Formats: sequence, structure tokens, C-alpha cells
Amino acid sequence: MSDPTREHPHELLSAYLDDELGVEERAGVDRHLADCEACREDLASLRRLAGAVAEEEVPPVPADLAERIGARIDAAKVRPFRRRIVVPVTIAATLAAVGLVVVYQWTEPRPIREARQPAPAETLKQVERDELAKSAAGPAETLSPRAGEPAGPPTVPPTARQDRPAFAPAPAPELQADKKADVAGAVEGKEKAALKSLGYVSGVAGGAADRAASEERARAKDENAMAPPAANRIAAQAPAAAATAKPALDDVASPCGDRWVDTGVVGTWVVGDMQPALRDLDAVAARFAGRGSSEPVLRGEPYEIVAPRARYAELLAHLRAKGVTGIDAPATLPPGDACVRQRISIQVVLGTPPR
Amino acid sequence: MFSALRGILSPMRDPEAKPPHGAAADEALVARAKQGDRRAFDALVERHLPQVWRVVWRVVRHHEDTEDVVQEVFVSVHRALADFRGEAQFSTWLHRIAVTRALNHLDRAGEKLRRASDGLDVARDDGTTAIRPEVERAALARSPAANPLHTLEAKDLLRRLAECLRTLPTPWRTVLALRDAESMAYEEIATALKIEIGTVRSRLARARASLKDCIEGKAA
Repeated sequence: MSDPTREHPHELLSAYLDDELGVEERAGVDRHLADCEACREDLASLRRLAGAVAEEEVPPVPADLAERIGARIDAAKVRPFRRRIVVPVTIAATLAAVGLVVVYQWTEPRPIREARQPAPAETLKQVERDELAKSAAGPAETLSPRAGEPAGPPTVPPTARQDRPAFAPAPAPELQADKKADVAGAVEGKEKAALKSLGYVSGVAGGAADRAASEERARAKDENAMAPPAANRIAAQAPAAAATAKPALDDVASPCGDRWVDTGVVGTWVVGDMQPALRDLDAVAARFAGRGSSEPVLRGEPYEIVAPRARYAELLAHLRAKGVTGIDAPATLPPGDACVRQRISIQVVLGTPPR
Repeated sequence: MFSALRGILSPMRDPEAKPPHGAAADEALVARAKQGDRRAFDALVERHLPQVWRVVWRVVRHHEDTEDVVQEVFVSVHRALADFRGEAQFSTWLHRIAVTRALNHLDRAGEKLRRASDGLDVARDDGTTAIRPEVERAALARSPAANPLHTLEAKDLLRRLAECLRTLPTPWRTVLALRDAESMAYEEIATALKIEIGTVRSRLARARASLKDCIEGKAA
């Protein structure tokens, strides 16, 4: 932590107001406040703001809301029955489907494989037998039907037949691999569908099944809330692992331990298309800072890039050149603690980018 | 307040016993509701509806959406009540569910899109391409004389506050609501939001700075 007596302790003032500072930090802020009129004013502003937030008027609870809640609970009473029946049936159906696919894999591919890729020796023998039978029954070369005769299957001259491989058998391992891939794909698809219906696979909501899955997931989250905090966090992270592949930036350990100072600034980037913009920011984060994530934007938060001070000015210039506006920050950081990092929060907004 | 509470509880209590209140009353009602006593659960709804409504509204800030979310909260509480082991107070558990549900609601795709568009709408109203108040604040920051937070009338301040809270990123608005409106300690907020205490502190600081700048910018 930087010494609050030397720098304006903007972030600390907020925690100071809430009486959430340790003894030393609080004493440091007290010393700073004694000599800094601007910070005293800042604190007074924050205090008035907090009071205003607390006083903000909230619309009254609708008079019939309690009744409507009761009605919904009554309506939801059928759900336990549904869950008792539907979930086991879904699991049983899934297992049955997987079983069928496995049986299919062991039984069905055999005739297919035999039909498509007969053993070379046997194949040649069979072909030779067929052709011998044909040549014994008629002329060797019947490239076109004679006049008055019905057109039969064209035959090939024996010499040509000898020159070419009778049946170019597809390599057996390839065929098996393809088949396995098909089967595995089918199994995976069915398993995913089944798991999704049970609420274990995330997906875009749509349709009754997805809504039910969504409700199940939300219910699981609520139930997680009953666990003690530490276990709760782990339990909550496990099913949401896909959605939060990267840790929250605030949770990433700093090389300076707890001493890093976050001097966050906010900018705005108006983009015509969200996804390319997020990919672009991911690339910028990787290039300049190594940390940043599109995930918060998908939750409605700003995109955050945490930059080490060595690359701060370069990153800032890059973002401004890209069209990010409203970054209220100096072009360069003042010399000081090496643990100062710059967090740039970029509110990505859909719209018509300014020319 | 107390008489109203007694009115709610009177049909269910032993006429000879003193009515319990606070956590003790919750505990008794929860125990009965877990046995399937629907009136006990209704009493829990009555007791906690105003607070749940307030928290959800402050996070969601949309009347109809708040109604939906609050209903979902109590339906899910009713469903999960059998598994509630009482390790935390019922009100804490309920609070956590309410916040989770409100945030889940904001996570939904349509909601995200609407809020992204909301930011743009602000720009159209202002007639500028500088959508966010941060742009205005940059200009204002150069004017040392301006400090509208000290000079604004309470009514104007609250009006601007409401506008600015609407444009604040959800995580920042949520910590503000839990801290300033619900008076929750940082540790409680961290538990409710499943984030670290340091994250609560930094989010609150940034939320307040952004809100203050927004109000001052609009007042300039």
C-alpha cells in the first residue's frame, strides 16, 4: 500500500468513510486529511453521496405481490412431482440411448465394414468368380447392348479389369475411425442434450427445456448459497467453470502482494459489432498487459485491462487511437511506487462509431 | 411495526406465549414452514418482502423485472427451504438468494442487450457522441470551482443520483446498494456476491468516484 500521507488516498477514502480500514491505514488517512483540504472536501462529498444513495426512494411493494407469490408457490407445487418423474425418466432415457449407441457400435459396423472393405484376397476371388460366370454366359466385351436387346449393366474388358484394383478397399483403420467419430459424436450429443436438460451444461436459453434447465441451474445456485462461504465459492465456481474461465482481475495475485495500487480509469468505446470488438480488446490485453477478459462485458460490466506501469502510456495511446474516448487519465504515470498498476475499464457500447 | 408483526403472527402463535421477533421469529416460522405449514411461510414472505423488494429493485432498477425476480426469489426459497440447515440466519440466506437472483436476471441475454442499448439512448438524448458521463467529467475536472455535490439541493441531487445509478455498471451499482442502502459490512457483501473483500473495497471506491463524477458532470 502506498503511503496515504504522500499521495491522495482516493480509494482509501471510500473505505475510510465506511470504517473498513485497518488501524494503520486509518491513521495514515487521518494524517493526510489533516493537511489536505481537497481530500477533506472529497470525503465530505462521498459522505453526502452515500447518504443520498441510502435515502433514494424505492417504489412501494405492489399491494398484491404477496398474493401473487403465494399463487406461484401453489402453481409450483406440481414441480416436485414433475422433477421426481421427469429427472429419473430423462436419466433412464439417456442411459438407454447411450446403451443403444454402444450396442450399435459393436454390432452394426461389422456388416458395413465387410460390405465396404472386404478382405482383399476374398474380394478378388469373388470378383473373379463373378466375372468368370459372366464371361461363360456371354461375350467378353459387351460395351453396348445389341440392337433389340435390353440394356444390361455395362461390363469391363478383362484386360482393363486386371489392370485396375478390383475394389480399392478403403483403409480399414480410417473407416473405423470415422465410424467411431460418428458414434462418439452421437453419444456426446445425446449426453450433452441430456445433461443440458438436467441443467449441467450451459447454453443459450430457448424453449421449455432450456427454461427448465435454467431454472434448475438457478435453483442449484440458490442452494449453494446455504453452504458456508468458502465451500460456497468452490461449489459456485464448479458448475460455472466454463463461464468464468479466467479469474476475476481483482482476485489475481499481484507480484507486489497486497501492495499494488489500482488507479482505475474509465473509457468508452462505441462499436458497431460487439464480438469483433471484444476479440480486438482480448488481443490488445494480450499484447500490452497480458490480462483482460471479455467475460465481464458479457455480464454487462466494462472490459478491464490491467497494465503494468511500464506499458501504461503505450497502451493508453493505443486505446485512444483505436477510438476509446473519455479516458480521464494523465498521459504518463508519475514516478513512484513500482507496484502502481493502471486498470482501464472500457465500457463497450453498441452504436455507430464516431468517424 | 411491532403491532403489525404481531398481527401477522397472531393467527399462528400460542396465545399464552410472547410473540418472538427478529431471528427467533424467523427460526420458529422456518421450522413450521419446513413441516409444510403454508401459513408460516406466508408470514415469512410478509416479514421479508419489503427488504427483498428493496434490494432487488436497487440492483435491477426496473419495476416489472423487480416483481418477477422477487417472485422467483420466494418460490425458490420455498422449494429450497427443506434443505436450509440454519447455519446462517434465515434473513442472510434469503438476502443472498435475492442478490443472486437479481444478478442472474441481469445476466440474461436480452437484459444485457437492452442495457447496452440504454447506454446509447443516453447519447441520443444528450445529442453527443460522448455517451458516458466520464466524458463530461473529464471536462469538469478541469474546473476547480465546480463542486455541485456541495451546492445541489437535495431534490436535484436525488434526481441526478437516480439517473447516474441507472448508467453505472451493474457490479458497481450492486455494491453501492448493499453498502449504502442496506448498510452491509464489506465481509457480508463479499459473502453475498462471492467476491473477495478487497474487490468489494475497490469496486465501492470506483463506484463512488464514478457516481460522484457523473452527478457533478450533469450538474455542470
